[in-house]
Amino acid sequence: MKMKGGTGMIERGRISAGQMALILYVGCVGVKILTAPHLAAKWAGRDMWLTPLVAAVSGVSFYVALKLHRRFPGETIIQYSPRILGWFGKGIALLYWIVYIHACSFVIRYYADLVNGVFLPETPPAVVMGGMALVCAAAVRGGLETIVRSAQFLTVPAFAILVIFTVLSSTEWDVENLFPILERGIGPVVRGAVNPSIWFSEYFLAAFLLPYVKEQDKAGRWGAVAIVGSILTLTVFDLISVFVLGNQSATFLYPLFETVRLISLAGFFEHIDAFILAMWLTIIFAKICLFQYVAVLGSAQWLGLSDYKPLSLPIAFILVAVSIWTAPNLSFLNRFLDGEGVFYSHLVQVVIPLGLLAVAGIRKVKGTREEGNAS
Amino acid sequence: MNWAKVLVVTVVSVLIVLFEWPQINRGRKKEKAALLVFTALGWGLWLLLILFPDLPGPTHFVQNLLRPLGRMLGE
Amino acid sequence: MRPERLKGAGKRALCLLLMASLPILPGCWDRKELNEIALIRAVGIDRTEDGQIEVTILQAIPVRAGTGGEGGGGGGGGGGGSQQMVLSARGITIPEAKAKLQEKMGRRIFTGHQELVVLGKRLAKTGIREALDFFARFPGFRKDAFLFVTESSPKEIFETVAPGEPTATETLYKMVKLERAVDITIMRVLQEVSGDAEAAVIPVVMKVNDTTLALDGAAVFRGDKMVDHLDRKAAEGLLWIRNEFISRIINTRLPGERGYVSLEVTRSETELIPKIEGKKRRILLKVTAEDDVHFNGTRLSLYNPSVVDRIARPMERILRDRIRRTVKKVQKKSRADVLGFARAFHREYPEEWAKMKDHWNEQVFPRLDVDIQVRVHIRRPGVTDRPAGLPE
Repeated sequence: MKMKGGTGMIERGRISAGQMALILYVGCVGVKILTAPHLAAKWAGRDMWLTPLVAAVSGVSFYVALKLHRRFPGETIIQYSPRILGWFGKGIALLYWIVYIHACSFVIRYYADLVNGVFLPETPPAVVMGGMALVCAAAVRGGLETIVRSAQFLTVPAFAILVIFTVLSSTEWDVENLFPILERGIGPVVRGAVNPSIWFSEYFLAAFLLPYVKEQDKAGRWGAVAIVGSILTLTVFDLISVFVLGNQSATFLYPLFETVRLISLAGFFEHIDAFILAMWLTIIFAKICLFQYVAVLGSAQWLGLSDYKPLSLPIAFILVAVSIWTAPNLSFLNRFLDGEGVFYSHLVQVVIPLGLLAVAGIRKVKGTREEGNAS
Repeated sequence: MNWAKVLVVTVVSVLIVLFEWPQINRGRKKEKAALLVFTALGWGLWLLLILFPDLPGPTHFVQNLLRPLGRMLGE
Repeated sequence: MRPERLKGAGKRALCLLLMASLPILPGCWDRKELNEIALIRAVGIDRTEDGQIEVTILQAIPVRAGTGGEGGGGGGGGGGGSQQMVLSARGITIPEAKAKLQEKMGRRIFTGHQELVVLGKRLAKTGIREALDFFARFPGFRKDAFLFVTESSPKEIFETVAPGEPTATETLYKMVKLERAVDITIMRVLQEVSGDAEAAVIPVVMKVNDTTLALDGAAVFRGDKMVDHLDRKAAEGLLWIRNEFISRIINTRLPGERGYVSLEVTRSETELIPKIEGKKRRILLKVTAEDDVHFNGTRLSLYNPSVVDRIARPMERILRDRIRRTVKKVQKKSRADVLGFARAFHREYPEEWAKMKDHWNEQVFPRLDVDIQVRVHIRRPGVTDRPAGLPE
């Protein structure tokens, strides 16, 4: 595939390493903070707050992406995969495109199921999904910088408010719910970490963002910050769920909501669950934007187009269809993401990239661009 | 009911093309083709889903593919 | 990519797209105007004699804001007249009964502001699991609603409106808020029923007369079935043990003195210390209470610290006896561990717990040796330290 300077870099925007860390962080915790301990608690019981720590091992995918990018500076996996493996690599690149459309459909599906299940039961799911996909398509048209800046602008206050509200639930805390710790050993915790590890493996999305990061030397450090931040965030939300819901953590699909719904301060500051939804919407918006962007950018790069923007709406259109198609119901989706899904996500986001890295090393393939030229 | 849905999907597809088409620079044939192909793809997928709502999706496919591994995790 | 290209047809198409989204975005399907919904303040659930479920709802009727110039019509003029409507319907399941209720109403049932759930006794005796499942599953149902059990029917409770209060729930809600009962929410019951002890308590409400409701102890549940009804005194002891203590007045007499001393227990803390020694399992209840003197009918002056101590000792005895009575009752009669002992054992002895958890309520709990240690500290004598109304 011929890749001249102009067509190779269809993304003109540049982001800082910190911004990359933020959007990856949102991508990791976005869905999880809402559904936080539900699947983990099923296995790990009251020890589920330890699962993010175990699951964070999958954050290694970020460093695989970083390593690959060091070898092929300024390129995304869609571009360097054919360089390593020729036509077969082209096929792998296509696989990534499909996988990220699929992964995005999970996120949209989670979002729509919450909104439909709890707040707007009579609105057709396609409308709920379509509304979000449309807004995200608009952000994707604006390019990477727009997405990252809106994420910065929206999610940072949203996280602050979420943290404040969960702290407000402290009147309902029962710290004793925590004990005894590790009653059944570490086994259940590891099993419970299966589901969170999927979200951590999504740090591989860095493979699509790293080419546009201004300060390449800081990327690794910021990635670590994001991963540690994710661990802390998820642990805190899990802990609060143990404190407030206790043995009911595994009962509810949206433990954060049930926790927030129990908040009642001085008898009048209560019923704030809808407000929490609004906050969470901004977070999930950023997450869907990231995935949608990757799908759009990936398709444009795969086809060697000069611009990805015209594809934002058609792909949003496809995404909504796939989101409906992806699972017959929420139980199926949860079951998948707590079982086969973990192999799927790690195969694509850890094993295949490692294979690419190995083959590139053996065949001594390198990027054409010198490092630093990218910015 | 199905026809109404098909109509909505078709209208949305047409609107997407109408919106994007003028924004692609003249002479960019590849981009225009990609736009048409992707929109058609979406339209086709929607049509399929409207006509066969119980069509097994990509998740089913992956699940069946990885089932032996999934069994290791236990129920 | 180039903003100046966004012209002509593109712009028009964008406008169309935006316009098309306009009717969608405000959430038309789920629009709920205030005058289209029925605000449900309380739900009552009972089982009828033929095994059906009867659901009763208490709908608050919003009174038009502003002056009472509307006349004596709808809401009832002045302070009298209730602003509520009670309706009930039957069905095989709760949702079915609820749907039947909806058929009787023009407004949509909206449970987002409901505060109370009253369960009938027959339902409590035959099992509340189905009701709990409905509460947990239905998204529009608040999990912080307070639960009550009643001997009479929920309908009767809802129809008992105290003068000056708009609805019956108002009274009950305020009672809980005044901490005269355990505040048992749906979430608490869910946690306790599926917790270590598989036992829960729910306060009991009774109708005294047409305008008065009163709390009448607590219902003890083993699993999801009501097995016992603790009277008011025993229920009070329960609060102590469960560390949900709330202020109480306690009268005591001192040896060799005439008249009573009344103390208010302002703060109390209970520690559960389980112990396993060989085959023997025991638990120590360590209660520390802080009291204020509210009334002194004796001639003793509280100026003297030794007198203060003299009052504290009989207090300790009274508290200990009360707690012991409750423990005995729950251990021997209810045979349901609503005291939190199971949790204490689980926490301290996880390994032994695994062996005894299957027959906890049946065998271990009733035979547990319970030691009670009470320590009372009298903190304040009120605003005077001598008996008032006596010559120097």
